[in-house]
Amino acid sequence: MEFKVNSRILEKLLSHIIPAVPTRTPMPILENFLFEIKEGYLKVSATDLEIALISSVNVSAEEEIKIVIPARLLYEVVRSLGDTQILFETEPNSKLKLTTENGIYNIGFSSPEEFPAIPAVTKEKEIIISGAELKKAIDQTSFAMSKEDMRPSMTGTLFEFSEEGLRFVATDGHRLVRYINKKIKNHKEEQYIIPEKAISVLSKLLTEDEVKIYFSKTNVSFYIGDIEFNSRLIGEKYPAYNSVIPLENENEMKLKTNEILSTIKRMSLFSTTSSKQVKFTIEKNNLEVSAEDIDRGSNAKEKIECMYKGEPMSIGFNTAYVHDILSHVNNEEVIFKLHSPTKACIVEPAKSSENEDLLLLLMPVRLNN
Amino acid sequence: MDAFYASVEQRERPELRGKAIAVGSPDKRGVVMTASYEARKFGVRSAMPSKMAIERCPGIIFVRPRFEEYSKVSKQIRKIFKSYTDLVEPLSLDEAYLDVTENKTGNSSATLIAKEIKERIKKELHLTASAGVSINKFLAKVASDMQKPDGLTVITPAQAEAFIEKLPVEKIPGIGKVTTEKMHKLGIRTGADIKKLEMDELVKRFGKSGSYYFHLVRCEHNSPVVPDRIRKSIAAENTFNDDIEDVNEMLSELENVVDILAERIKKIKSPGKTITLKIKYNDFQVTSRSKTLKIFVDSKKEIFEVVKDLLYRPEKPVKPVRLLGVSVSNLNHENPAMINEQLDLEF
Repeated sequence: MEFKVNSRILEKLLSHIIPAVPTRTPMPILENFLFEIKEGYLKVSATDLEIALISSVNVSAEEEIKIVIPARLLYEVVRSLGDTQILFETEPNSKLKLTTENGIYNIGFSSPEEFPAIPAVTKEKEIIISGAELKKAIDQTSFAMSKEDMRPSMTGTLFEFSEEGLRFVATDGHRLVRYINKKIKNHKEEQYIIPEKAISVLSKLLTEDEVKIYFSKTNVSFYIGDIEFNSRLIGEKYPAYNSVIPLENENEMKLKTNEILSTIKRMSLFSTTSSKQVKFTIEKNNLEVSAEDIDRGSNAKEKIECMYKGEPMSIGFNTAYVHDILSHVNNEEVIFKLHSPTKACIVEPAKSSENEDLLLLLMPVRLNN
Repeated sequence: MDAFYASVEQRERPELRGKAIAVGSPDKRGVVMTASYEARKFGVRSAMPSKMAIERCPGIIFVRPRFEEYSKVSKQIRKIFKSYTDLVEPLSLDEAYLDVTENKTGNSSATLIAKEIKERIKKELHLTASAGVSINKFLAKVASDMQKPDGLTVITPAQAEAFIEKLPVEKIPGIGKVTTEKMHKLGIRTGADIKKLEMDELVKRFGKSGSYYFHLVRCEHNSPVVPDRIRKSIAAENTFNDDIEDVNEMLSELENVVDILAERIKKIKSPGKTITLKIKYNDFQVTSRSKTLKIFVDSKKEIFEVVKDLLYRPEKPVKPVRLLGVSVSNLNHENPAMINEQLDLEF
């Protein structure tokens, strides 16, 4: 068997597939690419059993073949070569021989029987979304996913189809983000939880191009250009997040997003490392933000102008959480909707565009006084 | 300090002076915490079952311990130490290491300082102490045990190596009954015997301690005197009058233990994350089970929940239980007033 392919084209293809190759695995077979040549196409796949990536490229080849090749070795070689033509030949002693203008590289390959099958997702239900819109939804929400696996459902991002639109929800139990893309409506409510790893790989694969999504009960497939990206779903029930979104947060504070964000950055320098607490003291059209680190004997406070309708209030937050939340408010002005110092606070952009809706929820830190 | 608890009691209560007394409980499961020197003549020792103490020394007077009193005296002793050096590492209420290499008196003789401290303790507190002076913590401790009561033993740098070589292994701090037996079986009886062995051999036989022994016998034990050692854990336990077999009874006993523990945690103001359940069976086999939580806990309710779980996991105790204990470690030493609680969304 032999075929020729340009190094740059192959590098691009492999770079899309390599994220699915696990770095540490008890199954050495997963450290390989599955190489298949069929009907003039070279198809490369990799999987870590949670996610799988598949892509193909047109090559001129006479014979069909299916082998597995050490993924990192091949990728690193191809990546380090300049723009050149590579001739691939299989040798009788299970060696794959790569020949370029100046070099010969032999890589041992093995037979594909042990390589796990990648679960196929039927294409019954198709969702089409722009790559840019999907990327935006992920970028708005993924930061809030839980990093602790006490509740596995919260380690992923919820994709919830509804008549209102496609809702993306992430939470770690301290803060929650809900982003709605109102263009994608579905008459039936359906929930799928996509694991964190898949979300982070997906975010890097997305371009402006249109994405086709297919769901089965256990898996999801994304088709992005030539790439097929498959992931296991988290088979758990997502927390009833709607029940924690307060309806009666009557105290409203409007601020310039940049101003408060910059204040929070400075306060994070002064808040105690363990609690990271920052205190908001809100009075009529005046917000005082303060932090102190008793151990180091340092403290700071700043006054910020705001528009406030409501009762005077003192409320504490974790600076890191406030910072995360504010960095994801995609508007010049931000609104804090408060009820009391121990109840969830809603954070929203003052204006949102027609086809989207963003809601951020933050639980306070109980103040000791 | 010499027979510390007993000496304090004899100092406070003249009628006990010159008599064989034991601080502890005379109950059938009680133990002697400290025996006066008069009682020691009859073979009464610390940690001995009270029953045995009474057998050996009929007429021995048992005195209930009063820890608050001992702790008060302990503070007075520490104050004397601190007037010589700030490098004071307490080992218990009545024992401490002092590094006097550089000290507040300008006196360069550790021996003279030890003598002065002993005199001050006698004059100001009417108690006697025994001191050991040497080149490192290990030798100083061994020396302090050599002449008691009211002793002062010096192991000079020149004597150190020869001293260790002659030292029976059971006198080395950290070598208890089990290790002594193991060493004896291997023909290791003195420091010199240990010295004959390579590091690899010692580590293979005794694990991490092997390397400690290796350096020790070469006078390479240089661990510094650490003042104000930070508390690492806090515990409470109870030995029962009769062994317990019923799990419900164990739970109710554990509830009491946790109650006491929670009180102690509140006192030191350091909640912890790791909770350990200790079980001693009637055959004296001890096991422990622990769990580390994501948050610091200090309340009786939270700790007891975990303890309950631990009692059944991996399985409930299989033999009659003599003692149950609970400890909390992984402590938070920040001022708890500053630990502010991050609230959760209530799903």
